[in-house]
Amino acid sequence: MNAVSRLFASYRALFVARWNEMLQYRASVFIWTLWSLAGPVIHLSVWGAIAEANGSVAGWGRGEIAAYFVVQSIVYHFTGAWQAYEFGYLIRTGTLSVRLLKPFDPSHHFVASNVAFKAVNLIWLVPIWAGMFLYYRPALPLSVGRVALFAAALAAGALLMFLWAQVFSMFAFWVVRADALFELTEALGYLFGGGLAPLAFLPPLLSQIAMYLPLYYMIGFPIDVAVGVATVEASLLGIAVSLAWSCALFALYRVLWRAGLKRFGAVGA
Amino acid sequence: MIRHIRLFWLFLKLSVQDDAAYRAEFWSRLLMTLYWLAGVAAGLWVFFSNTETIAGWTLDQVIVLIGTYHIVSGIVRSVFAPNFQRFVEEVRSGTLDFLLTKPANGQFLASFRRVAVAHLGEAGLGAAVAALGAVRSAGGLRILDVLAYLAALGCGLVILYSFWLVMISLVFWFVRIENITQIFWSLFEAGRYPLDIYPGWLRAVIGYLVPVGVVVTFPASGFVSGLRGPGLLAFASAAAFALFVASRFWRLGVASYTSASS
Amino acid sequence: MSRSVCIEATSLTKEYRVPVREGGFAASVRSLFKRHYRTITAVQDVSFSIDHGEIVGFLGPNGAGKTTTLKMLTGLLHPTSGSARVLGFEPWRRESAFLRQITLVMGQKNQLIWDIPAMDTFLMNRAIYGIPEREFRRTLDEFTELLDLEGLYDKPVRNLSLGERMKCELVAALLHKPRVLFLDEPTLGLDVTMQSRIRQFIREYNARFESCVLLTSHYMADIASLCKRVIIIHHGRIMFDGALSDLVERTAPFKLLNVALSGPVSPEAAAAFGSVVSLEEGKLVLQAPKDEAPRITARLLSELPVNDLTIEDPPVEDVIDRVFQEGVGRA
Repeated sequence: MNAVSRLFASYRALFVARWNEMLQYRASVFIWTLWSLAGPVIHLSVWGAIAEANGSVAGWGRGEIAAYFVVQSIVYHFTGAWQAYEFGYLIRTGTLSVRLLKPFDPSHHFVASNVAFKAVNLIWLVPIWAGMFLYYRPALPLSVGRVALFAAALAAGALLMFLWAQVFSMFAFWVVRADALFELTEALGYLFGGGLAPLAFLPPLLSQIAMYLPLYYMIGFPIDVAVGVATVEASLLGIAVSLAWSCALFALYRVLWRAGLKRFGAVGA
Repeated sequence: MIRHIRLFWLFLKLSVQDDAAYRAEFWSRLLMTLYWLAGVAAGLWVFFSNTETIAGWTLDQVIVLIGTYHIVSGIVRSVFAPNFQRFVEEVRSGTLDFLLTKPANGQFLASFRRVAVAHLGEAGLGAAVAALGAVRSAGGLRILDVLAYLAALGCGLVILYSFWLVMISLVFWFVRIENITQIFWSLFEAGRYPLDIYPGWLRAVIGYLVPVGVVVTFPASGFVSGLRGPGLLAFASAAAFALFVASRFWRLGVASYTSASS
Repeated sequence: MSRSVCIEATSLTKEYRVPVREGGFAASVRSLFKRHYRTITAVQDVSFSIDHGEIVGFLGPNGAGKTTTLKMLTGLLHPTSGSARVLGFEPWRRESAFLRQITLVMGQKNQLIWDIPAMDTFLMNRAIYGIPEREFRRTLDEFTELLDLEGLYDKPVRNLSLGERMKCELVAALLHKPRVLFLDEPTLGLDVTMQSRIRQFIREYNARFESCVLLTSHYMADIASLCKRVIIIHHGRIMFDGALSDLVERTAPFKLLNVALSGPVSPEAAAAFGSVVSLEEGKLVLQAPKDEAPRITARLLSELPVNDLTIEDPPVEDVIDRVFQEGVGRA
């Protein structure tokens, strides 16, 4: 077997194992996913109430606001990445050592767990999302083209977020609480990335800063594509920018990984 | 009572030593708290650059609400949650008997043994924020308003403590229950904003079932609509009742646990 | 099979800088602002060489440097100075060809994924190591038979007993038929039958696949049963490297005489024969220098009321303990 087919076979076996594992934890997984829905629902309520009091917010009515946050719950699900919270733990418990002894990059496990988690959750998320669509009646301009663009933006955003989390995972080689650092960026993403509000609602200063951060492409940008805020050209451009960010982050992650291994070899766990 | 206070002070000191051992964690938590403050300010900026009020609450009143939210959140995170976590671990590993045979009251120990000091900072900052909002909204702090607020907050915390005590007690029967705290936190998130933004059924859930809304909104509403004697009295009696029920529930749990393991 | 060198360590040294931690409240707060360090030497100038086919015991008290040395030989740690070669590779370069031929089994660290059947992890390893299907099945069947694991692969790992889990861990670790086995406390916490089973398995594996094994264990039965050669490490330095029998010879050159008495014997009478280890009603244990043991035995039989008498070597634990305390003794 050559290296590529070995990699494919490994991923298949890895995915099956992680999928089975997720199923074992389905109760906790379900509760965790419910918790992640709280944010979009709460913000939908707040902005909805504001829109009702003022007629609209930045030209958005209740329907548009509902659309933004319902799609946000979909985007949050597909672009999530959390290995930054686990990597430090893996190092300290010696599990990383066990994985390092195999001729297989330990990060493959993160990819498989990430995809398995998202796949298992679809079991109950699809009906929940359907319910949200029915209840909130979001104003969404659905067309095949837009859905395709959304899927592409979503995939790019998921890749970007994963690599962002990878970079912060690597910090665990040097800093005990690299997960806290990562949490800081999640908070940044919340504010600047389209979590708290669509970029259109932000005061101009904040929205300008937001455009320079990769965080927007993980959350706000795919949503903007779906709800029609981004034109076709802007969507394609945004996807390109998102992929460019991904390339840069991948390079950074590999550099940090090599340096991290050296440090790990010097100081142990 | 004095003994309990001294014990609590000792726990506090020990917890500081425990925390301070992890330098980076301590500094990063501190940084996070300041970071959070900036985030709260930015969030308010975003909301109120688009509107004058949220569900009838002005900016200053929302500031009090957010401050109150973080007082409660800080206390929950520094006192209720770590002890719950530790309790679950002990039931799981069977080392609980150690706790139950100590001379101090078992319920007190289980509830207050561990204090995650870093989160107390959140409560402190929450208090500062709430004070700021109160001063801004009323042009000054009237002693009566502050007392009413503190009384309502105290009762609210007792209610919340009772809720957590019931959750801890449930662990006696359902050991794998720690995920229940996730549900608490997601509902607690909703308490960040005035309850009126939510549809009626949700308002009922976070107002009364998982009493997050009540604990945060009620004291803060003192600066919106004023807290009256009767309201406070009703609240205080609810708190006393909740504590009574929760304590009995705890004792039930202990009885069932000790009879099961003997 | 060629008897070539499998593991070669040359002057391996490992030093760490660790922060100094003081207790007490004030010191904790001070440590927030400034930290002091000191250097710890975990392993100092360790050299040895192990050939294919050998099973070598690696002994030392806790903190002696065993695990550190094993980690250097598997590439998890870089030595501060010195070098090592395993199967000709430099371990810390972590080349794929190297990793596919070694395995490190640590007693408490598990590679089986906890909540799913062991088979899922085996299949994962099969894919990772690129083991052809036929060979995988054959190896798995062999191991199943050797370790008596029929029917255990489909239960979630968390539902297995400790012994069953350890055996499955061994299977997972050896599926790719590595030629170098590093076993760190592989029988920790297992009952006697299980320990014996695993020892037998290791012996058969080593014989069949011409691998080499470096084994650490606190159970002397493991060492005595598997290892002709032992390396003793203490405070990071090698104290002894040679045949186990040689070690016993040098460190504890005496025999233990277990005498079952049929009548009473006074302590003074007993002491006349040699140093008394214990004297109870009906039982006397004497320690005598090796060369004199036959003569003393003859005297005992003729002068004391003896029902039964056995002559034993000192228990290996005691020998090892002595080495740690007193050193190796004269050659």
